Amino acid sequence: MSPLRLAERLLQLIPVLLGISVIVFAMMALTPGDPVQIMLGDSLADQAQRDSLRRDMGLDLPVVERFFRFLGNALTGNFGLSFFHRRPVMDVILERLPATIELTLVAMLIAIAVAVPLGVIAAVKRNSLLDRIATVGSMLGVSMPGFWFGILLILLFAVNLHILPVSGRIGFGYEVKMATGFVLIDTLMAGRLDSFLDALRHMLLPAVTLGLAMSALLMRVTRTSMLEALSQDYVTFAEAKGLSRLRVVGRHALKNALIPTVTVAAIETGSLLGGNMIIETVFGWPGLGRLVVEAIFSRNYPLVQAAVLIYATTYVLLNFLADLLYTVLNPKVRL
Amino acid sequence: MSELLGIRGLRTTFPTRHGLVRAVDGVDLDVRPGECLGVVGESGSGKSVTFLSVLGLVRPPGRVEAEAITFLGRNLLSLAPTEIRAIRGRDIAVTMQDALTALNPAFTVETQIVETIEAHEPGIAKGEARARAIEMLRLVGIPDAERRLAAYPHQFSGGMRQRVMVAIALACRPKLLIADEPTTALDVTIQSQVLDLIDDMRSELGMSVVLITHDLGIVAERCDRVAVMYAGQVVETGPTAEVVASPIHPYTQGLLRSMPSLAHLDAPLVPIDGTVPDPTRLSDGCRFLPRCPHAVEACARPIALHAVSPDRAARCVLVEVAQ
Amino acid sequence: MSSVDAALPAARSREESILAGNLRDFLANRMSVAASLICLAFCLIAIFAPMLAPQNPYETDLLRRLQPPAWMDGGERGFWLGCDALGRDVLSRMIYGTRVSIMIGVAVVLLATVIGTTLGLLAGYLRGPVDIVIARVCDILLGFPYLIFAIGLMAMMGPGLQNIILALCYKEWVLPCRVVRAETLAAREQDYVEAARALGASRWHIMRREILPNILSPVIVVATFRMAYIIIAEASLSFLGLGVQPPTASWGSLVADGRAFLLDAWWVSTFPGLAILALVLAINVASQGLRDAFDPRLSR
Repeated sequence: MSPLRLAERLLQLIPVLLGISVIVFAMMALTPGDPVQIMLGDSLADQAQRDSLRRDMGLDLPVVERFFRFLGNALTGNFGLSFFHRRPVMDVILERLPATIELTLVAMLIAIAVAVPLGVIAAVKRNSLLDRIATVGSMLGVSMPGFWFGILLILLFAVNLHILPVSGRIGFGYEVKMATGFVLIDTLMAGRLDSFLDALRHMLLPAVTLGLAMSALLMRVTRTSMLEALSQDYVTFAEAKGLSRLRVVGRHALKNALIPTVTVAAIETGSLLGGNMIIETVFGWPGLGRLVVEAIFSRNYPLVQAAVLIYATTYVLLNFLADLLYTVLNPKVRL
Repeated sequence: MSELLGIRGLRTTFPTRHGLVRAVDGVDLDVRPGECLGVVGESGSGKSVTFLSVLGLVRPPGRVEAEAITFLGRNLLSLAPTEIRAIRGRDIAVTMQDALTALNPAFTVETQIVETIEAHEPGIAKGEARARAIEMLRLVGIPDAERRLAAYPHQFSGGMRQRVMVAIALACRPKLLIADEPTTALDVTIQSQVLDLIDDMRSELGMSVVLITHDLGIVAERCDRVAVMYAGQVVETGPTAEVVASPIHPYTQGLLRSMPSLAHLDAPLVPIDGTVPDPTRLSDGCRFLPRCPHAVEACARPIALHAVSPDRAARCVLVEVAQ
Repeated sequence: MSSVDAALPAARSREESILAGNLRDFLANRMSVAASLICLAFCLIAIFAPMLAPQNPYETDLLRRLQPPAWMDGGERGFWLGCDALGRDVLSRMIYGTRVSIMIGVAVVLLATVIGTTLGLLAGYLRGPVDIVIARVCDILLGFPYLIFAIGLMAMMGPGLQNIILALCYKEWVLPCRVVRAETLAAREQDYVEAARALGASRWHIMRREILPNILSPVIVVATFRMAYIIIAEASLSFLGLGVQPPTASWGSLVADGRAFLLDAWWVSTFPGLAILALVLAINVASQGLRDAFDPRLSR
């Protein structure tokens, strides 16, 4: 993609992101009840303190001005204070973010590792027993409520078989000093193999649960695009050239089939961000998703607002990335 | 044995939701060394499937059966998959109708030529394979061949792309080229260039060519012999000049009448009445029967390809009666 | 052109109504027919819940706290799938939960389809500024990932049946809107629309009477397969405690109820989840069949 085209695409993101912030702002502004009252809860603040808080939060300003203040603050990562944590919202979020990113990445890796080979084999051996099993499996995976699947896994592996932990990110006594915030990396950096393995054991069930729906979808996309590729003239032509079956399937068909697969994978990673609220709740995973759910129940609206904005922005950027990836992979679009 | 490729009793069928499609139904054909054989018929007549079957390129659930398919005295039916793969591209090469879809959009032209050479000459040095690729592109008339090697198929014009495909097909100097509708996807002005190229290559490499087309005009112009196909069967074969001058089968006659001729510009074009039979409900008798102006009762029983002269044959009751 | 194809008008005519053919294709697919019957069964359960439920789903009985299913030790006839932490019958609560799931699914999809179809028709037919505004709004709403938008809304609006329907609808209309817009753009160039326009038909008439009936099958296909998504979304919200409020039973909240008692009472969470899986799977299989039969472009 030419730099000009890239700039154009980036510019197109601006109205979308602006619209998203309007909606997120409006969500807050339209919330019934007095934000100050909600924030202070049952505390014994007097009227003067309440008024000063109101001024600090800019609630005495007109709506339009409040929006621009919100936007300006959001751009600098300032989402106000989380009264519940008595710290800036952004600090709380940043502290929880690595856990969510780590879980999402591992889930995505598992999904890709399962789905792509399975999809390819299912397409190559179309209508075989394996294809049928894979197709039924992906239908099941798409239809599975993630929170329930997680509970089933806990029932089986933690409650009945006692081979994996029920919840959390790392077991008692295995904690290491956090440097990157990614527990798998930190444990390795600390040279604690035992901690690393324990973290891995904690990671397994939530990552599999989170990856299930995605791998079901990815499997389907891979199979479909692989079937599509295998039915193309260039595959017949490649075979007519006397190439080996491995080369025809593994290079000629696969390279073309991977273009939609990778794009879907990038988009779906964004979708996992929403799914992880539920999975993190089920597995007590100390990430952003669980933080948001907790924040909703403690009526910690600034945090909810910030998180929704962050989720949406990440999602939009991931879609943009998927777009870029598609262009890079597809020589036809690269003009 | 005079033929390069001999096909006897070829049957290719595809099961579908609506029944068994008999795409190729008892085809006998010979291709002689150095000749250009035209195979003419409309889409669905089985002409492309015939040659895909020869090379074992029919995909499941399609089924191929034949009494014999011999190439240089070897029966292709009895070969192992690796053996037939060694013949594809090296001895028998194929070009397809549309180079835009036949060339892989995700690979450069270099990759696509070189991999063909490497498949048939394992252990060839990278540099040598590359040099051969450049040579082939030059041979088919691609200007600036060395630089164009790094280009992707979509970066070529339609005519040039077709040339690239010919270059790939001919990279291993095959003895037989099967050119499947080489001009259909092209502008009229470029069509004859590509056909000229194939003609030139034929004399240069001393190979045989099977020209599959629905255009009887091209066949009349370029081919030594012709085989006319209708509904999965060969209905008439013979030297092109004789078949065009005195067609025997009513279908061939109809084809010629429906085709504008330079000699008789004022003669009216007569389309053939009726439509092609449903491929799932083919009769055992003459398949042209419902549309044939000369149909008689005897046409309803199975009819074989009858030799009319040592070089000509037709699948028609009229021939039987004459004998 | 001196070609055989030009000489032969090769058209196979098989006269039958396209719709009847589609329906036959659908009925020929045994899996989708079975799945449709399962969906129907769930609807009947929802409608006749009061008659089918063996117990009062709201009646608590601390003596039956976490009572196991009928076939296990300590189980009791009439309380077939056991009881929850308040001693309420799990099966009866599931039967009533069917009502919530199906009602919300149908309401959201219906509302979203009507809104989305209307806006899609307007955008596709009128084009210009109307189209631009609608397309922008769609883009923005699509910027919110799975559930986040609904979760944000539920957080602000508070839980409740109406709120959950609204929260899921706010974004859900975008999909039918996009499909209808694309179909309308294609349809407005068709001869029958041109003809109607030439005859002086009003724009409203053309949109409603000429275009809408012709683009209905993709709309129906989208609606059915989104139903599955909405049911999972509602269950997820209710699982998080952001959906319907206790003591109303929803499959999602039933699963959540049992979460604290996985060690002693696996049945409280397991059976409601199985119901979600069964219904969603049935809807997915049926809509897949529908897609294959009515709109081959959308499937493979």
